[in-house]
Amino acid sequence: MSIEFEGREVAIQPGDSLAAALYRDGVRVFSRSFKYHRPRGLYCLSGDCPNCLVTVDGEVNVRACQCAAKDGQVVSRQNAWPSVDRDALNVIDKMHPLMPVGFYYKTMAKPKFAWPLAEGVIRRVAGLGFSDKSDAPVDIDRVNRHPDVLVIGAGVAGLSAAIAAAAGGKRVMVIDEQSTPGARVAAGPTKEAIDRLAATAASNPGIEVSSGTAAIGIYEGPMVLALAADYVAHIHPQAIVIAAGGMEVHRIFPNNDLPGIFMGRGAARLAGAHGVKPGERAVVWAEQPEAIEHARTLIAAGVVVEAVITAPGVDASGVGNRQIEGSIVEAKGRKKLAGVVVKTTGGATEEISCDILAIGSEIQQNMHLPRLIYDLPCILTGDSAHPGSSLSEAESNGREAGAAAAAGLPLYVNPPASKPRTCGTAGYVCLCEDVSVKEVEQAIDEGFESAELLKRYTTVTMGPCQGRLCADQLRAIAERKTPSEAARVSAPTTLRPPVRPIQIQQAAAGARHHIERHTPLHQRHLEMGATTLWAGPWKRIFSYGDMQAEYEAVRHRVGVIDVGTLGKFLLAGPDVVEFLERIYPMRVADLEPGRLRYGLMLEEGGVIIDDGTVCALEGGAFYCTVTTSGAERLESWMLDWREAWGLDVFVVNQTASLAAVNVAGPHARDLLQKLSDDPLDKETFPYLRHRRITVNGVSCLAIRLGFVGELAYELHFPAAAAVEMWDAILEAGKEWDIRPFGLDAQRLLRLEKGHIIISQDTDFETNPWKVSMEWAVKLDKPDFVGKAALVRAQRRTPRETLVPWQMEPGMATPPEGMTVTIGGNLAGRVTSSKMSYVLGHPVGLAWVVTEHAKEGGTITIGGAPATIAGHAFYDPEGVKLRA
Amino acid sequence: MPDLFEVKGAAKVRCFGQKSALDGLTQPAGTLIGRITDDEVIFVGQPGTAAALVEDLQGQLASEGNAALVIDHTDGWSFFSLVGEGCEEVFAREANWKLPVSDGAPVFTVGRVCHVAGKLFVRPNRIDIMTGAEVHLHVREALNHAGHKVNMHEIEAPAVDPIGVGTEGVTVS
Repeated sequence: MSIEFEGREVAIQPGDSLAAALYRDGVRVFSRSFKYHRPRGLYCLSGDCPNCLVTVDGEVNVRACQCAAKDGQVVSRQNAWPSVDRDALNVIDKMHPLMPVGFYYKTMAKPKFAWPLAEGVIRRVAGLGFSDKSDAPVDIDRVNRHPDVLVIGAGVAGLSAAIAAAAGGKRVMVIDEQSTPGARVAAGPTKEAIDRLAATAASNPGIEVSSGTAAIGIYEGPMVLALAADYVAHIHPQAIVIAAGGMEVHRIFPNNDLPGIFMGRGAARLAGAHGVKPGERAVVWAEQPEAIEHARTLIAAGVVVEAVITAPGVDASGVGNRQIEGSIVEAKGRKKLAGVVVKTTGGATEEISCDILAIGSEIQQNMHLPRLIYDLPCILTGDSAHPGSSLSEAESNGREAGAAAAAGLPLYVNPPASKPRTCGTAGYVCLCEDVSVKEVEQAIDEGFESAELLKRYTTVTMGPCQGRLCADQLRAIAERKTPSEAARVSAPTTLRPPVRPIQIQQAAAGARHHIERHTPLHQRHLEMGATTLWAGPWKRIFSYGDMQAEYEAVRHRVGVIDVGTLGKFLLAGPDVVEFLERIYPMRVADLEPGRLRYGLMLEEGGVIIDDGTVCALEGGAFYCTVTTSGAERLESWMLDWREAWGLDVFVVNQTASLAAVNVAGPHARDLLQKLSDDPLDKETFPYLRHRRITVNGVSCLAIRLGFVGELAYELHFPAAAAVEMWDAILEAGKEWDIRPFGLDAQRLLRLEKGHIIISQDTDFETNPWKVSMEWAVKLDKPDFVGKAALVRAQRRTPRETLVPWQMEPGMATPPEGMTVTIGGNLAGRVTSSKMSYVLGHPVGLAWVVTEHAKEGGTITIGGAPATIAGHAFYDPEGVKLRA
Repeated sequence: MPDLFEVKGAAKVRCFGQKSALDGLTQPAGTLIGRITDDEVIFVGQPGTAAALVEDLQGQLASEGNAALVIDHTDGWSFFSLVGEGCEEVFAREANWKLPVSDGAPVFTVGRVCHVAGKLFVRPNRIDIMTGAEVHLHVREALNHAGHKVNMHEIEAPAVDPIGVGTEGVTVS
């Protein structure tokens, strides 16, 4: 098995990560740094640093240490020219003085063309590789899981917690970033403990261990967001145990970024878990006892440990060639590590030759997840609670945490404060963004003194590691520079999920749906070549291709429109009349069966929120329609009022169960009479009446309305019959050259009648007085929603009034939204405008300041004169719709 | 592996009334029952049984007068069934809430599925999902999408007893 690495074959072994395979093959420089193109090698091998980001099969910024090597993968390194091994752009490393911190705020500001040019260059020479924009996005699923207890981390503490929680009768899920529990732990007591606990967990049916799944965020709920290989998991546990472990502190000293310098656990992982010898001669810096085990692991792998540099109290007896109490103060080398300078506790310095340095520094908790828990039911254990725990402590703490989670005890435990740490005076603070101690100090001198400001100005903590290595160091420098204000300047910066970089397509997992609501006739419309548009949550028909022909058919012959998107409600129950009297501002109690009335719906402020019709049915029930986008909202609104008033009413939303079509035009009656034996004549079935009739064998509620200003019948019937009904109407209408019509034609037809569309011609301040609909309000009723506000509003003259307007023939139709002026002063805006075919000139509706909103008045729309009309443009007496 | 099918024309009848009246209803044989609220209960029957179901329920509630209402809502909701081992996995990809556990009898519950409101009957290895007919196409696509990675296939509904309640019951009209 092999991978293709920059044009050559590299052999891989089972269980290899890409980093291990490449290192075994001799690769030492894995990347070039973000800004200065400094060579970078493997460092943490835990996915926490930016040093091993490579491009794998076209995907940029893959962590080589976390990516399993697979046969046939194509791998290359990033951010170098012409190659990572010989990077000409490394010359930038010699130009530090030209690129001070925040240089992009300071330089190339003048002349103006300089920055766009510079920006282009910077974008090419800095960064983290180039993504392949031609790649089709991968469709990533979102999966929900509901364990009782979620354990994050399958180390000693995590597995112990899972076993204890399961023993408490809980269903437990364990997630861990590694391919198997302990996969990156070198052989030794810790590995043995993990293997033992993992075997116990695997045999427990109450525990599900999901390896290769990384927690990247904790949210309210609680909900934990986790990334798996091919899906994103939303995990909804009742309790969370965080056993996310710890990591060694990033130590800062001159040349601390040279290839060959490892974190202690990283070097041990490479040697002990992957069987790859990191180098020939090592120095181990042991700030804590665990590092001595790392030294032993290196020795076991055949590495000569030249010296173990210990902190006071750490016993390295017998390990390595020499033991020196002190610390590392400098690394030597140009492209790779050649030696280290040691300063003993006595103050002497000594240079020791080596090709690897393993820094077994103080253990700090992996702070990102613990910092996200706020008031959620979480408990921390292992290194997440007690960084540097011994093996037995971790196991014991884990058991306690699992038992507490199972018992449902108060779980929230304050995460240990991330304490400011000491920080060297030279070297790289931020490996991701290439920021040195000197640059941070310079930023402080410029006035960016707190960690929060430093973060934004220097970009420290804002790279791929998200502050894992550098956040505490940044705070330490701020504290050192301004000790008198230590608490303020070193306050922790805010952490937000995701705690690891994720792909955009992962962020979009599960959000692929663009939900369209369709009437049962939708497919039929598409088959007829209709174009659609969004109308609220619905996809409605805009036109069938020839709007004018559709319009002409309705005005002169007959047309049919699908109005199935109307909200349709059946209201019934002992208190239904009382309920409707309170819901609507017009009178309902006097509506006799068979009659209907137009009704506005108002909110408490008297603002119009919807409109429709109310039909009184036999037996005391009512059938009400509302606008296309209003059904769901108004259903909730009515149910809320029902509960508030305690009335015994049933509100049944029949929007989807009933289809509706409107047959309109001078021949509408003739057409329907061909399909129905019921009398449809004017005397038997007049305007503003409804009847139950049978059309094409289907029982329909037929309503005589006139939104488009012609003789019209609106038919409401079971949705299952919609297609047959539609086809039958079109067939029967052939005699009059019937046309189906869409919203484009309907909007002109209604505009010629001066009918408003709620939310197009109205806004969040529109009450009935402003749109001259006093006739739709009965203030003498005892009460209705919005009455009190309307009474108050009646005492004031509205600032603006909605008026119809028209222009002279030959003038261009102004667009909707165009401003209205009078005498050069802003005086309103157009809400609707169309060229009227029947009148031959533009017509519309507009808000106009009330003092000028008088019939016959002249306004200016887009520089052209228009006249305010006092009534409907078409059939103002309503003779046609009453025909 | 789970299967998906749509039971076209499954009878859906909604009853509204006082809690006591609805509590006293006898569930017609061959139906699924779901209590939406104290004052609403729904019954789902085999395709073609809506009229008989309405008649039955209207008869049971006749004494309530206008204090009760029986509505045929068959066309208003689509009825999809996820059947077979792994159906919960499909559901978990389209809903973020936890399904109730069934001991064998159908358990009725409500919640969002495929980003829309749903009414569900949960049985071992079977989840019936009712959603608004206006989003029928969307729900069908979403369920198929969710299922393709767990080898789910959409099949024709069984000709006999598609809602899985037995063949004994309301007469097919």
